Amino acid sequence: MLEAFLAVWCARASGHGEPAVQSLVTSTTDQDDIRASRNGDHDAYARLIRRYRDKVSARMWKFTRDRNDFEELVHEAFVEVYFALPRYREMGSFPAWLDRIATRVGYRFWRRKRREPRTVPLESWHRVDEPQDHDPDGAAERLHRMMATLSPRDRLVLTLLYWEGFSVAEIANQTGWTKTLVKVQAHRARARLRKKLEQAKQAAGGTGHG
Amino acid sequence: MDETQLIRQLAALADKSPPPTFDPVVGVLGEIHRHEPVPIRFIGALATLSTAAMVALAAWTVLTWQAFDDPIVQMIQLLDVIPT
Repeated sequence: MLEAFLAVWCARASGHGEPAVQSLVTSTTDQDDIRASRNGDHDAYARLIRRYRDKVSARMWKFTRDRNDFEELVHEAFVEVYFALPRYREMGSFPAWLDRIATRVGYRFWRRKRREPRTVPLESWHRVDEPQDHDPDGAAERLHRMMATLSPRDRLVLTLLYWEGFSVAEIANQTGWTKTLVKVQAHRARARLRKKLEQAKQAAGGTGHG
Repeated sequence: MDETQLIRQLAALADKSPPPTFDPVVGVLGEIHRHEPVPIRFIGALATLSTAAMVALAAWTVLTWQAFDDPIVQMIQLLDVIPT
């Protein structure tokens, strides 16, 4: 009943109809599969995975461009979702809840990676300021290398804000931070990235690459 | 170009490169199966088995009681046969 009301309300409020409804309300099919999965029905969970693997894959592709790491992240996210299902509240949106877990898994990955020694020299990504070659893989590679120079927190907030295009409220919801913290973090992350870019340009100029 | 424009521009380009196709179903279900709390199922199966065993024992006792006048006497008689 409440879901039906929410669906109509969302459709009217957004003026976009179906997509807005889908993002806020968990479908009946999902709910049936979630309930069955909680009771140990692996077929039901396989259906959920197949329904959302593209969404989770797209998210994880923003956390790494390494094929092995990517597969590991997608795998880890779905395993974590399964064991978190008993804590999922059916009134909430399942896709949004899934997003939160995927973001958490990706953020943890960055933190793990951060502890590993970095081998990318500063001047090797100076060409990030020249994305005019229209090569998607090259652009993604450069974006990742540039963001990898930041801390995982800075990287996360900039990725969600400028790559995913989420609002401050959505990022707060995904990360569990307050809206104020998201804004402060974004402001500081931008400043740090600006500094890194200037350093990279100087390094590139100093070595005769600029 | 400032840093936010740079990220957006690179991101717009990067989004044209789709993620690799990957089907995590088999791997995920395998790992779930390994980590699933098995004892709950195991205890359930054990309880069912022990209930069935108790029912069978009760049935055997009742049938034995009906077959002989007094199973205890019968047992003593059987024991008497055994040479000491």
